[in-house]
Amino acid sequence: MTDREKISKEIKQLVLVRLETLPSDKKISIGYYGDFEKADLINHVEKEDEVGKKIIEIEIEFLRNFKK
Amino acid sequence: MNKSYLITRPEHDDTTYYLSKWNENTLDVAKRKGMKTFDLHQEKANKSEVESRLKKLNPDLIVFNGHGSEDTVTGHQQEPIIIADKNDDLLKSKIIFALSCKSAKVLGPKSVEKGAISYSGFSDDFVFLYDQNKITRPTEDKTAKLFLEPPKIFIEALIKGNTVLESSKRAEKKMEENIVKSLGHPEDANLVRFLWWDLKHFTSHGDLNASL
Repeated sequence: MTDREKISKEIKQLVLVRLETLPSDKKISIGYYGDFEKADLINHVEKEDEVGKKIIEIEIEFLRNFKK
Repeated sequence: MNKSYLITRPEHDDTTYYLSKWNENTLDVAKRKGMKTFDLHQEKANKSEVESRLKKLNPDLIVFNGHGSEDTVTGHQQEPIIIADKNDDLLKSKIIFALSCKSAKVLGPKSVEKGAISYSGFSDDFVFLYDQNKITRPTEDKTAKLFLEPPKIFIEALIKGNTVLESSKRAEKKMEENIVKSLGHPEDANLVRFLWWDLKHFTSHGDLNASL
């Protein structure tokens, strides 16, 4: 596994941990992708489909900028 | 001469219902300022109606609520209502705000090329969280408020005669305050990445010193 793959895997795990702590009564609207409950989002991130990739992209951008 | 304000408020899913309800009050603000208002609500937020109103009424300020893509904003039931290089010339000489995903990326600059005064919106997906228990009363949803109050502040600042730039600054200030506030509450800390995402992608094209 390359360093890049390791980092991707770690970020995915971080996103999943974050989503687990989201209150169950919250839903998230992601534009034309639709509205998602917590369990749906976790499923999308685990599968790394289009919606899952969007959530991971937001996390990566957020982490990149957090330091700055 | 009286200024005029046109808003589209499709309501066909949770997202559009929330946007519609959160921005409904901007019509009252505009009326109190003596503006003529045109509310294209639910089924009226369709392409034919929008095109007809833009041609006949020539509103000074337009707010599109709904879904979108890089080159399109949609109305009720996802019908594309303004499409880059198809009918974006209808936005000529107008100040526009699209509370939708991505349209500020391509449609924004294209509409300014066609003569729009300014086009503000989001260059990527507009993301917000909401409370399922408040689904019938969106304006009482404190989670959604963190995301939907700043765009409303932007619209109201424009209606009150502020420049696009000043209105943007007011909205961004509220977004920043909400980020700081959320960082201080463990139960809201998860929201920060999404609040920050919306702030990062909020942008304007055209004459930012323009006002109504």
